[in-house]
Formats: sequence, C-alpha cells, structure tokens
Amino acid sequence: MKSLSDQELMRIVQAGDFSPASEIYDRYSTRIYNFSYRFLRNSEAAEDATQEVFVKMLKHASQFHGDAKLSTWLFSIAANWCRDYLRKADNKAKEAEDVLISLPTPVELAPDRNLERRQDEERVRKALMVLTPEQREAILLSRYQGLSYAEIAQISGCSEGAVKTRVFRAMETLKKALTMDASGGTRCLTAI
Amino acid sequence: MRPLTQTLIVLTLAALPLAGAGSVVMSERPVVKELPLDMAGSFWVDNPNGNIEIIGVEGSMATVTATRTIIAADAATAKDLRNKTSIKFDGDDHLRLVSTVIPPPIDRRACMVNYIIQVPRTVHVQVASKSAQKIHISNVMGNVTVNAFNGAITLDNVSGASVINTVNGFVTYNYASKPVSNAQITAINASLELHMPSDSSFEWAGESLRGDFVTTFKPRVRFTGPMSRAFRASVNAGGPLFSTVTMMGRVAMLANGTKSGDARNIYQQQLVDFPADPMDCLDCPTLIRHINLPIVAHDLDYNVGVADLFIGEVRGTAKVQARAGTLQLDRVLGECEIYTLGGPLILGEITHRLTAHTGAGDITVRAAREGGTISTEGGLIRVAYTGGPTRLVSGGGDIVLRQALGPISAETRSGDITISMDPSQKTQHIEAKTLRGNIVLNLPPAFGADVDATVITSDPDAEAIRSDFNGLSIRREQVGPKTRVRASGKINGGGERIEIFSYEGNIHLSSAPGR
Amino acid sequence: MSDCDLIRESMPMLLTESLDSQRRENAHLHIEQCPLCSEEWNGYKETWQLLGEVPEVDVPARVKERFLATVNPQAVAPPRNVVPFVRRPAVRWLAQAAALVVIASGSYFAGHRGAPVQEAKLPPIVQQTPFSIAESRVLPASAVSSTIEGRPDIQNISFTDVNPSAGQIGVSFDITSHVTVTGHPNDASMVRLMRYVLENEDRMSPSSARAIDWVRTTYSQPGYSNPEIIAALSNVLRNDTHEGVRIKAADTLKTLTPEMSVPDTRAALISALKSDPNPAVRIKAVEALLNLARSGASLDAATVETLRQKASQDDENVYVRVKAAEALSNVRP
Repeated sequence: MKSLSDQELMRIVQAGDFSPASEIYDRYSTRIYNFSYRFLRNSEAAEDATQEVFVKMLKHASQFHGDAKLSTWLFSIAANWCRDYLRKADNKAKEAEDVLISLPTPVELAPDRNLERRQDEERVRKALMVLTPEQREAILLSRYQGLSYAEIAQISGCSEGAVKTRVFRAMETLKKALTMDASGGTRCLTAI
Repeated sequence: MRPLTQTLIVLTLAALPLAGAGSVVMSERPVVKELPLDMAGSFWVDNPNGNIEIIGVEGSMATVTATRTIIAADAATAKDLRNKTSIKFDGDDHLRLVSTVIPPPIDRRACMVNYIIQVPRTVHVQVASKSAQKIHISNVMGNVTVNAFNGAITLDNVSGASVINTVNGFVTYNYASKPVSNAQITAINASLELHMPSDSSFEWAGESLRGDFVTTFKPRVRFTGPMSRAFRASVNAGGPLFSTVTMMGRVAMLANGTKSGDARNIYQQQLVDFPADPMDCLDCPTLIRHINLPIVAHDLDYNVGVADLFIGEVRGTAKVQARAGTLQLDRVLGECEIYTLGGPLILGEITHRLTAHTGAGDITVRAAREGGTISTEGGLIRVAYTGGPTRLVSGGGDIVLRQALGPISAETRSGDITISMDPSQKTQHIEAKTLRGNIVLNLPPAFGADVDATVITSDPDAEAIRSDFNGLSIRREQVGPKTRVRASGKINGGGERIEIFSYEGNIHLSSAPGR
Repeated sequence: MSDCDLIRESMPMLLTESLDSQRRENAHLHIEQCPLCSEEWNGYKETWQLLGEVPEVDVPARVKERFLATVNPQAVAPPRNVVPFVRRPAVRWLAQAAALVVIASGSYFAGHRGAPVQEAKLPPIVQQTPFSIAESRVLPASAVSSTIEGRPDIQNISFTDVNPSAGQIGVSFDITSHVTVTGHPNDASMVRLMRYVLENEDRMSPSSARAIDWVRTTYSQPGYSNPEIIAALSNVLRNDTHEGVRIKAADTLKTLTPEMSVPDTRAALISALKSDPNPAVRIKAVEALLNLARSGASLDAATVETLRQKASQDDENVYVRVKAAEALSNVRP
C-alpha cells in the first residue's frame, strides 16, 4: 500500500475495497488534524473534524476525480466542517480552550530558550485567533500546508484574488501582533 | 435683580391632563430675572418640556419669566424632584443662556417649565425643545434657530434668517412686511404654513414625500426630478430663499388676506380642499392619506403619491401607480397593472391578466384568473389561485402558490418556494429557483413531467432531493467544495418540463395535496 | 495604488515563492532600494518565521481507532485501555448480558419515527429526572429502562472498561431518536427548545423557517408572549445569513405583543432598519417599530434618531421612509 500513489489508493476505495483507508489516514491525518486544531483551537472539535473528513472520504469516494489532488479534496471537506462548526452560535462564544502538548522539546535547547519558544508559540496561537475565520483558513493552508492560492481558492470556494487579499490582510494583522516588542505582546494583540 | 420669590406649593390630585390619576402636581410662583444683553448679542433657551414665548422689545435688557411645574406620584417625590431640577442662568452680556436642568435618571416629563422671555429685538435667538405645545417667537430682527420635536412653532414678524428643525406638529410664519431673509424649515411630519404680503418676492425650494405644496401665489416652478417631489420656484422678482422640507406634512405658501381654500397645488395646478382648521392636524395619528374608491364603473388609470389606497371594484381595466402606501384592489374585471415604489399589494379577484410590482413589500393575490407577472424586490408573495401562465419573482422572501392551472415560473433570491398544481392538471411547465431555500412542488399523483432538479449544497450527506414519484435517477458530484445533487427523469411517463434549482436547500416533489 | 503598496501586497507571495521570476526579481529590487518596503519585508519575514515556530501536534490514537472502527469494526484491535473479556472467562457471559441491558436501556429515550406517541412510564424503582436534550450524556444503567421501543438506529458502538476492579463496563453509542415534546407554550422547557431551534439552524431548512411560522402562530396569542422567544427571534434577525429567514423573523417580531419588546429586540430592529440589504426586512423592522410607537411604548433617543434619519434618507425606499415618519408621528418625547 505504501508504494501506491494517492490516485491508485482511491481507485481501490472507489471499487469498494476499504483496505487503503488506514494508509490514506496515515498519510494525511496529521495535516488535517493540525489544520483543524489551529483553525478551531479546540482539540475535541479537531478530533471530530479529522474523523469526519476520512469517513466522508470513504463515503463519497465516487466524487473524487483522479485528476485532482487528494489533499485538496480532503482539506475542502475539513474546511467545510470547521466553518460549519464555527457557524453554530455556541461554538462562536467558546474561547479557544486548550493548548495541546507539543512534540517533545529538542534536548539541545536550554531551559530558558525552551520557555521563550513556548511563549512565542502561544503568541502565534493567540494571534491566529484574532484573524477572521476566512483569513485564518487562508493563512493556515498557505503557511502550514504549503498550498497554492489556486488550491486554496478551490478549498475556500472563492477566487484567487480573494485568497490573495485574505492572506495579505492576515499577514498584516499577524505582523502587527507578532513583531512588536515581545514584552508588550499581549497589549499589542488587544490593540489590534 | 429681584430675589427669587417664595415658592408656592399647590397640591392637585389628577386635575391636569399632564398628570395621571393620583399624581401630585406642584406649581411654583413664576421666577422673574432680568439680564443685561447687548443689542447684537444672542439669547439661547434650552427647555426639554414646556412652552416658550420670546418677544423682541426695545432696550438692552432680557427679562425671563419662568414658571416651573413638577409632576410626581406623591408630595415627597415632588419635593425631591423640585430640589433636583433647576432653572439655570449662564452667560454674560453678549450671550445669555437659560436652561432647564433635569439630571438623569429623572424623566424630563416630570418637570415642565413655561418661559416668557423678552429680549432686545435685534439679538439672535436659539431655542431647543423636546416637548412643547407652543413655541412662539415674535418681533425679532436677529437670526432665529429652533430645534424641536413637536408642538406648534410660530414665528411672527421675524425679519432675520431662520432655521427650524422639527419632527411633528405645525410651523407657521407670519410676515406683516415683505420678507428679507432666508428661512430653512425641515420637518418629518409637521405641516408648514407661511403667510406674507402678496407683493413679496422670494425663491421657494420645496421637498416632500407627499408632495402637498399649495400656494396662492403664482410661482414659476421648475421640478428637479421626474419622480421626486422636489422643486424650485420663483415668486415675483425672486429674493430670499424659503426652503421647506417636510417628508409627510403639507406646505402652504399663502399671500396675506388669502385663505388656504384658495390655494392651488403646484403639481396639479388645481384647487384643493384643506381641513377647515389646519390646527386640527397637530396630533394627526397618521399622515398618510387614505383613499377609498368603492366602485369604479369604467377603466381606471390612477396615479397617486403617498397614500393607502383601497379600491373595491373596477369594472374595466385598472392601471394604478403609486409612490408608496398599501394598495388594495378587491376586484378588477379586466386587465390589471399595479406598480408602487414601496408598500404591500393586496389583490383580490383579477379576472384578466395581472401585472403587479412593488419596490418592497409583500404581495397577496386571491385569484389571478389569467395569470400574469407578480414581482417584489423584497417580500413574500402569496397567491391563492392562478389560472394562466404566471411568473413570480421576489428579491427575498417566500413564494407560495396554492393552486395553479397554468405554467409557472417562480424565482426568489432567498426563501422557500411552494407550488401546488391543481388536481385537474395532467402536465404543466414549471420552473422554480431559489438561491437560499427549499422547494416543494405538490403535484397530482398522475402528473406527468420531464424533471430536472438540482441542489447545490455544502453538505455532501444531505438527502437534498426527495420525490414521491418513481422514475427519477439521482447523481451526486463534487463541484469544488460543494456537492451537486441532480435528479432527472420522467415521472408518470413524462410530459412538460419541470426545472427546479435550489442552492443550499432541499427539493421535494410531493404527490400529497398541498395547501 | 503606489508601487510600494503593490510590492507590499505581493510580499506574502514572495514568501511562498508564488510569483514568476520576473516579478520576483522586480520586487526584490524595489525592496532593496526602498527603506520603507525593506522594513516591511523584514517584518513579513520575521512573522513568517514566527508562524513556523508552532510545531505540529500528534493526532490522538483514538481518532484512528474510531475511524477504523467505522470502516471495519471487526478489523479493529481492541484499544489498550479495554480489557478483553476473554481474560475473564468466568464473568464473560455476565458482562455481555449487562452490555445488552445497557444497549437496550439506552434505547429508552429513542423513538421510532411514525410510532404512536406514548407517555413515558418509568419503572417505580427509578427516580424520575427531567429528560435532558444534550449532545452527549452518561447514564448509569439503573437510570435506563430495560424496554426497547421500536427499532432505534444505533451506531458507532464501543465497549469500555470503566472500572475493572468493580466489574463495571461501559457501552458508548450514537443513537438517532425522534422526540416529541408536549406542553404549554410558556413551559420553560418548551420555550428553551424553541429558542434553540431558532438560533441554531445555520442552514435554510424546514426547521428554521417553519419554526418561525409556528412561533408566530403560537406565541402571538394573548397570554403566550415570551421574552425569551422574542430574544431568539431578535438573534435570528441579527445573525441569520438568509434573507428569507430574516424577513420571517422581522415579520414575527412585528406581530408579537409590544410590551414584550426589550431593549435588545429594539436594537435588533434598529440595526435591521439601518443596514439590512433587503428592503422587505427593513419594511418589517420599521413596521414593528411603528407598532411599538403606536402602543405608547417610549422610544429611546437612538431609536428616534434612526427613524428621523430614515425618514429623510433620499436613497431609502419610499415606503420605509413613510413608515419611519409615521412612527415618529406617534412618538411622545
């Protein structure tokens, strides 16, 4: 299975054989999960989103066309789910609720450097939540998933121009939040 | 300067219309204060609740007489209110300010002050009021500014420039001699009446939604837009500008010695009826005219401005155009065309083709016997019966058609569409499109059609299209982030085309009776 | 737009190297020569770098387990925290029987669509507690009836070992159930349920539009006005993205008893009057305010000012202007 391409795996699934499900999951779950988590900042919701994405992938495999990228399709499903989740009134009111334990700290970092790094991570997470959902989606797909504007436009259901504007505005906001004096970091965020 | 006089406390139970039953009304002796004021100075009065009378006199002294009345539930509260509210005198010889101070959270209606003020006739006057029965300014040569909400505002022989801003009530200008300064009056519902010598020369700019501008002068009028009720006119040799803007009120420009009954409407150039006493309209609960035509025994071609129009029966064709208001036609025995820029349409029995459009508002039709076109730029469309080809268009709102005997085309930008075909129909062309909503077609069990139904949805799991009829095949495909669900095929062997489209909604082809 | 503005706009694409070589070259040339853009570019790079500092997190193993259980329940290896029943042969049959009881009992709250409505009768040993409409719940087996009614749809079943030492097991499942709640329109639960339906339908569906129709019919009857329902309608008017639903919400607010109108509702009506793009919504909003004014309710300064502006606004629909003026004519400041 590991040697097969995404398209080949999906052809098997489309034929009714779900045995590639695990392999496809292994290939994309981390990206889907991290996208959902950074978007929603809610680990429980990110878990639900991840599961939903792969379940829908199997259920609607027939809708996948071999000429498209599987990742684009999976991110489409994930983005839709996250948007729907946010639209629900209760979920809008929830503050981003948790910070997941990151991967183990590289041992070569000194303890104070480790703390500084954690503070930076927290600042970035907070800054991302200041963005509008559309801007956050665009910047997450661009910065963390390396998708092109054309792919992001397809996922978000908008034009490339709109993606360009969203990314630009997101970067402007993040730049203001993150590049001011670190000691005034919190104040900078609330001043936006 | 006279000292403040002793307060006289009067307890009255439920006597005055100001107070409710069981209230205490406390009236004080008038406070009189004399204030030196330059002849080129200004006098301002700020009184939220109470009458104001300002009289221009010779000399350089302003005299203020203020009578305060407190309305409270009991004597203790009245005393407390009296202590908390005050009449304040500020300023200097160049600018005098008198204000009634009612600090929050006290309801300003609890404290009423009536002012009678004499000022040097050459000063400028400024008045601010929320609730007054009467504001009267007379014999002032300086500029006058009044900001009020309701009440009767009267300017007698004010020769300076004036600016009046009010909402309700009535505004009257009386000039004994020819006006020499501009006047700008802006109101929402207030009616305006200006009296001046017949040989006065002035410019007149008017604007109103209702368009009731009448005059006994002979103005040369230029309308400033085809549908707008705005104009510019010149009387005699022209001169100072009177700008009269009132959304719903009437404006009368009358030569001294003439009556409002002699006035002509500058649009229609004909005599109009005025109520016997314009003051009757001070508290008019509604300023939209109600026009009632029970029976029109011939064809009708009717243009009306802002009015609620009720027509019982038109024994011929009907063509009605209105600016705004509720238009109701119960029965039209011919073709019917009805247009309005805004307001609901309520139509009964239209025996021939119907064309109905409103710029905004609901449309209700009991029966369009030969079908027609029914459209609104925003609102619900409800049609009980249509007997011919019918097109229904809404810029936002549901469309409900309860019994159709002809081809139907229905489109709404956002809303549900429900169409029920008459049980006698075997086949019919139906188009229905909604950009945000559900579509339900209630068809007779034996109805035959070639169906093409499409739903675009964000939910790949949505059932989207449901049919009580056999013969449809459903396909789903991914279109970017959306899913397109399409059902097509023949029901009951096929027939006319049914084309339905819904964005982010559901479609249901039902064989159960609708309604 | 100046050159600097154009360069600044393209900086994100420079970071992702999405520009063609010519434009990339030109952009870098400009940045080198322009101190302001150079500073901006440094800021962009620093931000981009900082964004990258957020590391990825691992996906919890249970997500894969749940997913694979959906795909092929038989193929899933039992989770590490579930003790296989085979290790305890002596109590295996007891555990399975208990599991069956729990599954069956979980169906107590399920209804089969189309089944006749029956009054819920709890066995006498179980204490009656109010039924909670909740996304998920945990129930002791003692609180669940052993009777299964109809054929409830149960999915995603998993078994967990809650307390091995006490022989406690747990069965989790998703269940589709059809619930009919009956009562008086003013029962707190009924009101709360209606509010939830009104405020939580994010798509145009039978639920929200029909819910509003139903609310209008029920809660406009004398004695049934409810401030919570009015608050829910106000939220729909403010937040729903569908014009058709907003029109209905505004229309319903118009018909509900004026004295139930609270400041928040007025704020929603004012906001709709000021800025809703659909003229039908603005008409309904101004008519609702007109009804308020006619009823003698006191209108605050902000409301009066909005009405005043609307009456004078040249580009507003004439009918809206007329109604705004009419509302003002009923105001007694």
